[in-house]
Amino acid sequence: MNKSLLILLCLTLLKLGYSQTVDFNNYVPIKSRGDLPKEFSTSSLEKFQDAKKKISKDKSKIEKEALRDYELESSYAIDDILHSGKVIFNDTISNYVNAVMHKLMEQREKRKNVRVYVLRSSVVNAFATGKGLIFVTMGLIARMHSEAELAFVLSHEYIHYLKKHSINDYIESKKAKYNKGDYRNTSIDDKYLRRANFSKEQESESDELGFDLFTKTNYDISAATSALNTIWYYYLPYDSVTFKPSFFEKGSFKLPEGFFKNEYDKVDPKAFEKITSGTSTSSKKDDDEDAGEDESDKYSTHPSTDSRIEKLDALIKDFGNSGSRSLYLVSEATFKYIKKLCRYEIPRINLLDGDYEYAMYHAMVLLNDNPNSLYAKKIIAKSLYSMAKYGNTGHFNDAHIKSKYAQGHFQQLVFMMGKLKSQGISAMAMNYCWDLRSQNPDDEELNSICRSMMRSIVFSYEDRKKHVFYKSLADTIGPKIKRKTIDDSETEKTDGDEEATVKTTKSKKAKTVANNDNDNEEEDSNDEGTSKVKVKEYFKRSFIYWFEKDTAFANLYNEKMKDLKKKKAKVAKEKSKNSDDLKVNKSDIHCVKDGKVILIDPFYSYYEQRSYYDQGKYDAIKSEQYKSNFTDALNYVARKTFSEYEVLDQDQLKIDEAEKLSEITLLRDCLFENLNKRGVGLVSTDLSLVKQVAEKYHSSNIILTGMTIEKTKLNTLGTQCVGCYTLVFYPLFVTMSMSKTYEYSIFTVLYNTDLDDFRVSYNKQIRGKDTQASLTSNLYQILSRVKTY
Amino acid sequence: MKKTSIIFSVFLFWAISGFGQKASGYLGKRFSVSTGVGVFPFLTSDYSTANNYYIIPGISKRVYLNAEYAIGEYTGVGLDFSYHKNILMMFPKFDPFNTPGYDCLPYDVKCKNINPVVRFYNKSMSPAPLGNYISLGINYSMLDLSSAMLTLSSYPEFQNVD
Repeated sequence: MNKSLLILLCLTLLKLGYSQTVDFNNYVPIKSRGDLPKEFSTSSLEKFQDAKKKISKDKSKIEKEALRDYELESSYAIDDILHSGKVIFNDTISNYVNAVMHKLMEQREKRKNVRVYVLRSSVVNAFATGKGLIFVTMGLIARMHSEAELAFVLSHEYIHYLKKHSINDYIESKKAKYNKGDYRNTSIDDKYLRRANFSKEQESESDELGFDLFTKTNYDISAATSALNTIWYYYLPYDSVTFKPSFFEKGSFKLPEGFFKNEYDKVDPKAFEKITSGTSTSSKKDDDEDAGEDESDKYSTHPSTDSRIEKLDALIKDFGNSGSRSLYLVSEATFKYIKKLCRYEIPRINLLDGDYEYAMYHAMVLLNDNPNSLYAKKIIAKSLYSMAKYGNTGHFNDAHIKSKYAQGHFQQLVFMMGKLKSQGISAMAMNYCWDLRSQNPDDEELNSICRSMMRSIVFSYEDRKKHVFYKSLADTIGPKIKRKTIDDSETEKTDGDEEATVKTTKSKKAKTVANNDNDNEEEDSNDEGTSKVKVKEYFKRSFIYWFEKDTAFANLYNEKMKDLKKKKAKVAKEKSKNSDDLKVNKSDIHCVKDGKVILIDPFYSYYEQRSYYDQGKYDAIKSEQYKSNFTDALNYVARKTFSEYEVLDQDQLKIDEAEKLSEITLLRDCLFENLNKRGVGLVSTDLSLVKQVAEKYHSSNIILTGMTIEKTKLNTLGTQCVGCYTLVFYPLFVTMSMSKTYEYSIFTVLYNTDLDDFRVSYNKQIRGKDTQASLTSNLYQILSRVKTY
Repeated sequence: MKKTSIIFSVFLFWAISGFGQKASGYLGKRFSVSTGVGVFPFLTSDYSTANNYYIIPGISKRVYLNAEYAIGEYTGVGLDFSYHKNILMMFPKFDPFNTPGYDCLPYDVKCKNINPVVRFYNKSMSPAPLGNYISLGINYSMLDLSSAMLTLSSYPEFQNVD
């Protein structure tokens, strides 16, 4: 019976795997399909109450309390993960991973109900919850070499669940916190040490018992150590690829010598561990290094990976690997297919997370296999553009990792980016993006990126008094640019019009007039007036190829120059208007007016202050219970405010609305990406997909709203002291000290998909309780503003 | 009169057009009317003489009507009308006819109040007309003592003086 079930599952899986025709050149992220699993549709409160009933009464008081707290926290924490939109289900990857899990379960007589979910994350990790849910990240699958490696990781996680490690660990942490059991009369240092040892014992147990389970299958047992090896290199991109500087040299851009590092640090996880733990490798002797390693390992929750590998090697030797074992039991082709899917997913996740160098390198790996992938090329363009934007807004270090944290060929890329800095990357990004755009002129995303990139360059470097940009780019752009392209008289002539009218004669002069280093120095030491001339020269120099070749480029430059002039004229007016707390990006074309709006995923958070001196603590149960009041008020107000609206609430989804869940996730990710990178003003990563969803709902206006309420206590001691001093009013102060105050805030943003920007953002704080009248009144005020702006 | 009418016109113009806010009032409705009835107990001790000191409990009834127009998000102009009536719970035991300075009792005192106000609502709370406010206005009270005048019919103890 079980075998037939497995065959059926495998057949379904194979069918699912190949019925999808994925276009890897224009890759679209995977979506969840089918019905929503039970975990998604059951409320956290129900889950908690069910679990609470199962707590045994025979346990000690502290254990019962710890179990109750564990169930409460885990119910809501797991639901947070499930509702984060990062969990995918009923898709090819999830089905395959569950089939591998099923293979493992075949070996057990008593099977537990275990569900495996794939997490859309670039982190290399897998974890099990106490409720039988195992999560595996895409970052891990993308790095796996075989199905057997995946099976070992799953067997390891299964043991965590089977032995209730997470529950035991929680109880242990409670005991340590309240000085109970073995933690009585121990120092803080000892507590940490005991906790770490306890956790390590659990890991070792999972490794050993997981290996036992793994050996009962027909998987090749040597995959156990290779799985751990894979995890060890978590800090590196999922594959290595060699690249040349010429890869980025598009248009007029040439990478100068010294910006590309031919030598790089060898891949060594131990060296990386020492760097991250703050232990210097170069200044210490070998003995010291060993001591440092032990010290850093002492408080770790996991045993060191090399020691785990050693132990597993010993177990493998004891067991003996027979020849009949295989690396694949479900399907090799499907494994390779889902690994490829994960590899295509990761760069997009990197982009959303702001890991641009990783995104770029991963895309280069994809291009190595599939040179025609527009998806991968666009990832590189988006990464370069994002880094340039970060740099131009003075946040370059937020987008760049230090080269000491990178190894191998990846370090070459990181080093190059660090050398180029914002100015160099701006030039490189503009050339790369325009080159790609010239190959795909109808691509809306690329057009948006090029417009934004040009605006960023014009607005960031035009008005600067010291044009370091120019100086560095004179070197950066290479031999062609090292020649003086335009003579002074002609430059002045074109600058008089404040437009870049590049004529064919300029290119001739560019080839003939040499510009030596002395000339550069002289120019750089000129006054502010002439430096403006030089910046215009810079544009012509760094992008001379496109000025000559593509009139659209010159037109775009002129357009942005006009925008700059307009902006300067409006600065004074905008300053006077900004006295209001609303930040408005006005445009009559995109005004909400009578159009439809989408309200996505309203949120409600309830915080309660236990004492005056504590911070408000998040109360998950009340947040869930009272959320309906807020959503009811929101529906009521939206009905009164907008002619047409639609609420996409994740908590209100029906069982067959898996697609809607993907849409909510996409919109929410886009909004949060824009919120997180607001100061930088980037084009959204998934702009084209977001626009598709917006078109489906016939609305380009998306509203994200929610509220947080905090119940606070007054200063009991202070009020009573004052009360004692003025005895007559003592009863009044006693009443005051017992009373609690409420304060809530409503957060609302309106995002327009056509503008790819927020039109309105509003965060209103209101004193008092969120009564229905107060809530509806304030919501109406906010949404009316949103509508009219 | 002319001066008053000019001031009133300016005030009216300011009230109607001065605050061009987009979402005034509760759910966009600027004009609101409220009414209510209140009953409050009170104690009065105003009938002391050299020999007697009385504390008399009473009840004050109040009916009010309140009309308000939100001229801004946090500003409203209104007209309050209220009617008060005081009732004593017991009769005083002293001789009011022989007490100098007292020729009436706080019995059945009626009062009408007309109160045009401008209310400034707390911006950290809800928009007008909800929440705490500071009001500025003029209170015009009309006290009706006609039924409170001491007459034999209203004071049964002294009906058979003669």
